[in-house]
Amino acid sequence: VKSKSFGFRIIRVMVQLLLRLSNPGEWGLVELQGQLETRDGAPFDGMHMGDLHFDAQGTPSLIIGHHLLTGKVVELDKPLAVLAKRSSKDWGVANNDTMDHAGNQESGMIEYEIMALVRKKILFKNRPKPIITSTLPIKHT
Amino acid sequence: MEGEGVWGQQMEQTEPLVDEANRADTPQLKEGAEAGERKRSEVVAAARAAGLCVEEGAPGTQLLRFAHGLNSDELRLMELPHGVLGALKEGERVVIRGEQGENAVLCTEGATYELRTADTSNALLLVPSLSYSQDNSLGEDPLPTKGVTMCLSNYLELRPCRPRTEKLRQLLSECPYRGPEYEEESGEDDKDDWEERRRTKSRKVKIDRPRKYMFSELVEVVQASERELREALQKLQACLISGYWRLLEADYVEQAVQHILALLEEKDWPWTRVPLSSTSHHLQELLPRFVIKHCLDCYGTKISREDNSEADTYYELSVEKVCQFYAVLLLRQAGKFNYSEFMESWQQSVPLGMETDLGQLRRLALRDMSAMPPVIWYFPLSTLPQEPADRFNCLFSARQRWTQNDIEPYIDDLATPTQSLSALLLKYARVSTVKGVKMYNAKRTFK
Repeated sequence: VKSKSFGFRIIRVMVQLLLRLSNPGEWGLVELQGQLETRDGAPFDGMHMGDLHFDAQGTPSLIIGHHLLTGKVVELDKPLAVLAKRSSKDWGVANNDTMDHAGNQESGMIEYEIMALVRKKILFKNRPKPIITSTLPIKHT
Repeated sequence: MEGEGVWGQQMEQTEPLVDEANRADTPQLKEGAEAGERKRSEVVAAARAAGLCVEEGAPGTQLLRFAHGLNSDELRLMELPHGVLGALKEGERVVIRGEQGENAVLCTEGATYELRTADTSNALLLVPSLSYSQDNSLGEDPLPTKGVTMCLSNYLELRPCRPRTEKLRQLLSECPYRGPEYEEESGEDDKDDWEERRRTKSRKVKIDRPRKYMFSELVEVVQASERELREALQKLQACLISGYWRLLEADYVEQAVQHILALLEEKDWPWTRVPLSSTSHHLQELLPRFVIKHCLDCYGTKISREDNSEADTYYELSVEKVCQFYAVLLLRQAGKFNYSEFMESWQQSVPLGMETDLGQLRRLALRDMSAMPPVIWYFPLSTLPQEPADRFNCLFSARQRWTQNDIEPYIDDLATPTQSLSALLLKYARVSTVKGVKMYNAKRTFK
């Protein structure tokens, strides 16, 4: 016996992303104020970024182009996880519509692997100082 | 992690002595920097020119270089609160759940966190093999080069939040259980709907008739951790019937409880020791056994005996819950009740040996003792909205001014780790003192 007229509704099922922690390593992080640019917007790939120096007290300095930045090593209150999207192929499981409680991928689930944790960072927030050189730089070809 | 970009500003103050080639709008990576390794001598010279004391051996130096295929891997950074990291390490199932247009949540097995993107104006460079001090890996020849694999400007933040279980009541109310005679054999069709969606990878399920839900389906639709979902189901007094979680229709439960209590009186059985099987037996024409068990679980506690020698399972009824049952039975019938008449009827209706008490009416009823005559009316927490703003609106519509004592039972379920009760009151109510008593009313006036 149907009690009352029902009409219809759409129910949205949520996207579900499963997080996996495999044996994560610890990665490093450098934080700079503002954004980096290349001349003419050339791609960064493979390009040298800068020289990072630590003095005996552990203070980091970074030379980018003709600028010097001074920073400090900061411990993060909460570690950062580095997430990488993974498809079922990467886990060696066939992409079938089967539910498997043995921990294999379930259909409809996208997986993210936590590849690494970041617990510290080098923060450069002081104004960059231009490095004054008295000679013209030699241009590379 | 926020800050202003200061590059542009800095360059406008450039010293006139700085070479033409250096003048630019932003610090730039050297042209041709890709060409080969940089010699240690070059690096040391540059460092010294900058005023740094760097030894020939450069023990604290590493070169940073953008990796080939920079940003090609879609990596994201996510802040991990203590609880989440712990859950992951314990091997708990950690899932991010979200719908389009809604904020996503991250659920461990026991807690829910709101997921947000924190935009910064800074560049976050991921350098997997970065050294954080002078160490043995440095000071080599050639100088160690560390690759920058990602350059990001945002990261994901997690904040603990209440599980979003409001939808649950709505979903389960679609198809409440009203007795075996009203049940249809429609179970199989429902399952196909859901499986069909899974096969087509659609996010939408069309519901065109009252539908029952299994736990695994509720998990996909409600933004809560599994444990919180179970707790919510328990709070709703939902019942697992043939694999589906169901709400029992209020009238049906009312009748069932009344049958049970009437039987107890008839048989002169003490409410401190209600026999499940005997009760089921006597009421078998009227109620399925699982309904009786459900009522006893909701209105009492199972008495467990160590020796398990009893032939039957016994329950002790809860004074509080049975008194509340009768209060609701009376109050639901009318709008406002004469207070003293109500208190008298109420005490008379409960089983012999049970004492009614005003405290039992917390979250169920409101009184107006200043009215002539004083009145009491049904005002259950369960029917009020979950969102704080809406909740306070409702409360102040029902009654303009509240004492702390009176309002607390109707708002304490809203408190979260990040927002305490006093914070809520501060945000949504105005305090005033009337005859030395602290009172709360709405921040804005209503019609």
